[in-house]
Amino acid sequence: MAFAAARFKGQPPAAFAPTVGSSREAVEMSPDAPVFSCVVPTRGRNQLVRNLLRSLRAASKFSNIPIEILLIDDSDPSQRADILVAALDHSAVVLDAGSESVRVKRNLGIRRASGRYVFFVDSDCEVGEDIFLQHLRLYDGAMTGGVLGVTKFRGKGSFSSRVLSRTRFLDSFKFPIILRDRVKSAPWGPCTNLSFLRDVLIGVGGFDTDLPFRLGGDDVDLGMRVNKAGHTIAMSEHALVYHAEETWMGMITLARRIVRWGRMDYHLYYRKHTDLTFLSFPKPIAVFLLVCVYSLACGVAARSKGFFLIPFAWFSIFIVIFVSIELRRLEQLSRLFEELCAQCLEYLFQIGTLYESAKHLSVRFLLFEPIDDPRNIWSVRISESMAMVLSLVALLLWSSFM
Amino acid sequence: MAILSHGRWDTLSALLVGAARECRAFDGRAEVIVVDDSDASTGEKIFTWCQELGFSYHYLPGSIARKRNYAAAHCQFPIVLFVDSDCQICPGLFRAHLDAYTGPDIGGVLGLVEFHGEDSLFWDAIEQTNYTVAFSFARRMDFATWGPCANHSFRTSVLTGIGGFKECFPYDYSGEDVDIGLRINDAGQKIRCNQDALVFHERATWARPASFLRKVFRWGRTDYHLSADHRARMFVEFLRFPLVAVACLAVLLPILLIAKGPVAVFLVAIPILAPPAIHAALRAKRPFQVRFWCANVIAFFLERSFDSGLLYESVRHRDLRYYFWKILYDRRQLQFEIDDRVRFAGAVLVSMLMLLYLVLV
Repeated sequence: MAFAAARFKGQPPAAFAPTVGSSREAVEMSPDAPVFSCVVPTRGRNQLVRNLLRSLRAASKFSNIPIEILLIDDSDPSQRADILVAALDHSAVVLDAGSESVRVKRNLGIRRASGRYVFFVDSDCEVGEDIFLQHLRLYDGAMTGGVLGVTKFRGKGSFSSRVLSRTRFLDSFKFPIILRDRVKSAPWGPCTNLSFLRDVLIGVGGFDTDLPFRLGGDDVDLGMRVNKAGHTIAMSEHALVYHAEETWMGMITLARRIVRWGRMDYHLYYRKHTDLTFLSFPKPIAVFLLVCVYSLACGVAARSKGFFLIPFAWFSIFIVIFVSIELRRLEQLSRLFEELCAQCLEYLFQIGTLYESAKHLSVRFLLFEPIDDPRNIWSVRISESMAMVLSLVALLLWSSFM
Repeated sequence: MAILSHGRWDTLSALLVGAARECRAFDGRAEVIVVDDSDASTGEKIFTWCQELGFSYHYLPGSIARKRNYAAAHCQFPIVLFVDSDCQICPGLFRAHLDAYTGPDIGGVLGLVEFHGEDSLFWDAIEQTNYTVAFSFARRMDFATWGPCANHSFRTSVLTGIGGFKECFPYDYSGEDVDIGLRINDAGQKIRCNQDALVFHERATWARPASFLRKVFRWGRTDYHLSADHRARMFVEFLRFPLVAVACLAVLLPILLIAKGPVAVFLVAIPILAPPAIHAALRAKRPFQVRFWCANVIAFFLERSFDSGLLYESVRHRDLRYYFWKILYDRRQLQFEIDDRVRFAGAVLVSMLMLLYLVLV
């Protein structure tokens, strides 16, 4: 109780003294004060929102932890009514966000939250029944400012989901599993299963609304700022949220999203958080650009258009060699094709970053790499570097007979 | 304290005097054991000095590992401190080692070794390599995975428990310190570092180019066996330069000779000679210093000697697996090495691109 009192020192009158434990013990509190304020930006997806609300109320009932649900909505009028009905059915509050970015919506939710903790979840997710218990039990460290859980994708297992699972773009959803024993604090986490102490969010200024694009990268930026402010983002493997696969899949949608993330990466790491980058192994995209320059020079010198195909020939050879190195045991031919597609998605991301870097006349991206994910990516970079050398050798051999 | 000797009378005599001084100043009980296999005249001098100083002298021909095991078996106290015969000890060495045995899980203590002696271009090159890093582990970390036995103590019970130093090839003359450190850690014991335990190592015994190159080549050969014996610690390594050079000569050269004629010899020289020059330039200080650049070029080839030794041993055993891997002693090693690996990768790629351009044009 002394700990709880110290924890809640200076809180508004509605504050209470919950006991933080690992069991389903009742939280001692004023019956009306929520522990968690669930902030959910929404736009359409009526049925998915209804499923989410149902799961949130079920989780609250299971753990006997009172919550409030804040839907920050900017749906079309045709869908708005359904959202309002769903909110009414599950005692959720709907806030009108106009047509603002996701960051503005989340900040609105933070301002309106009355719970001690703010829990972020996306509208196309459903939470596990003990989600609040699992988050709460990790708020026992003095420095813990947030908790990140695991998000699992649920769906039919389409081709695009299989390709995506081979990239690193889903890694952040599993940070509590893959970064376990490596770091004490998650570098950041997606807002599909992430909670923070409201005070911490206010202290770091919430989400940065000056970032470009309507969405993307805000969770990365927030996580980094929370860590830099000296707080820990604890990780829980048992706090589960289930993400609908259908809203993410489709190769075209995926490609557009990844290019946007790549563009955002420039603003996050090569403009804002440059202290979180380090000297990188030569990137394939940098080598591709160099090969382009060389080919242009050769093409002009030799007055031959054939030279302009060389960068693409090099890239084709490179990617086959790289994938072969990474896929050490080829189980089925289809796996090779999935891996090739996955690598193409990775390079789409880099093209996005390159495009944004070029727009801002920055070359930092070509030489540096972010260290947000402290896992060793050394082996992948080495495979890439070896594949680049081998592909240049292959190109040399081919071109010597040209 | 165990001193293994083979000649080196100049440095050994100063070490014996220092050891005697330390024994008198030490407030505990200590002994000095000299295990020697010098020639007759040097051996006699060493024997005489040992008698005068109250040290025990043992004649034992054979490998370094064999001598270490012998010394550990014949010492009367529970901790044996190895100091190389080309080192000088600093006052307080015994106390600094003893004080670091803070718990039963401390199997050994690694002290700090600083190199002293004349400056030279070759020494500058050695300092640009990684070969002196292990001697400064005690300054960089609290616990080490291994350390050079130039200033390293062990609990004799721990040494006995893990079977002592391996005496088979190649550990007879190199790598025995790496191997024992890894086995001590694998057995659940720790090697504590204490930078207050200071020893000075004579540069002259390292700064002879031919003998140092042979030493480094031998280290590379030993690395093959260390990798085979400690497979659980393997980690992927970037393409090693000797393989690039051999591939250029064995594959590129014949093909380019057919396609381009005698000019191929010049072309193939590019990916062999350009990487060291580019790598050294990337390491260069600002403003550019020719001496520093030269030292880095020499350092590049010193490091490749190690890789060449590893390649030689791998080919001898018809097993190239370990050529693409390395032992990961500590995760911090990757952070320490990454800048250099990045520069090397960049240097190889740029030289390949230069070659591509010349072939195309």
